[in-house]
Amino acid sequence: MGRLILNRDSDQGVLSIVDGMMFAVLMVLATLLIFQVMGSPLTEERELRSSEIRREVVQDIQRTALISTIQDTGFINESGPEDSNVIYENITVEEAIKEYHHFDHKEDIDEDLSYDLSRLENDIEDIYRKCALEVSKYNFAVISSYRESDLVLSNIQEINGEEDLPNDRGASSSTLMIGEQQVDLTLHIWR
Amino acid sequence: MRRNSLARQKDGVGGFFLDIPLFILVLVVLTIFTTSLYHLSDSNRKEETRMELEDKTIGLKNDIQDYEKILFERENTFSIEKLERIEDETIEEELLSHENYRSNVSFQDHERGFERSFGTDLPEENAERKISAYTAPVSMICPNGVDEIGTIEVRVWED
Repeated sequence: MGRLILNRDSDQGVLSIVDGMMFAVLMVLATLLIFQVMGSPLTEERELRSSEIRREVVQDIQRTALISTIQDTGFINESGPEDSNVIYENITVEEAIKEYHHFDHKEDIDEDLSYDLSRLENDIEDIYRKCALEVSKYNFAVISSYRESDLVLSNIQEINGEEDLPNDRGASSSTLMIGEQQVDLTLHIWR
Repeated sequence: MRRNSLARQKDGVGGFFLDIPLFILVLVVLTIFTTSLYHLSDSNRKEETRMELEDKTIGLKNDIQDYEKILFERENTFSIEKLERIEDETIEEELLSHENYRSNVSFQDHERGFERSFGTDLPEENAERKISAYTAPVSMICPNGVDEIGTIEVRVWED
């Protein structure tokens, strides 16, 4: 009789542990559910906020870069029998980009014309480098197009177009005008 | 009757000891559950504070970018001359006085070695405070008319 009672007690103990483990599993599931319900909206808001801040930064960089002045720049006109230097003093980056496209396009449509625009290109890149990389600590790419003329500037040499850019990036687009034709200019930043 | 009563006593003693692992398990699970909830609500509260600080920082940065008393003739371009002349109190009263928050705004032009700071001194590095900071490039006009790229840094933290 006594043995029977002990066995029953032992069974009850095992059942209690099983109950406890079921309770533990339920509590873990409840915790996971609460984390999911309470945590995911916050994560989404966090991501949204990060992209908003990055948009604010890219707009600040673009605005500052475009109004910044290059004190001394220019290009080499290689069209004639002798090369000649074309010099610009105190030209804004916006004007420098327009000048680049204007002469690059002229070179494209007229085979007799040849310009070395690398100095102009480097000076524009320097301004973006200061604003994006040195001050804001972002990698950058400036992609600009006017008719058949394209300009791609970046602190990373491997970037030759939009297809080379990382997906997680911020961008700010501006439209500049050369006469009645528009120049589409986009600044991309990422870390 | 006597035998039944003793048997019940055995049941009681055996049952109590058998339930100890169960109590421990339940106690551990409840502790983990409560701690998890506490951490979740604590991290949510911190995240909300951080987002609130970020909002204040961006808002303050936008206010400064439109603050005519230190701007040159065009938008987003600051005059170093005006920045040197303006009284700390003017900016602090008009832009930097917030309930519950402290803020600091600094302008730097590395080329000229110019630096000007407004607002409360930053808390010590070891002080446990969440600081929201925003740094952006700005155009700064020197007294000789040359413009250079400077930096504006806005920092906001809880009082």
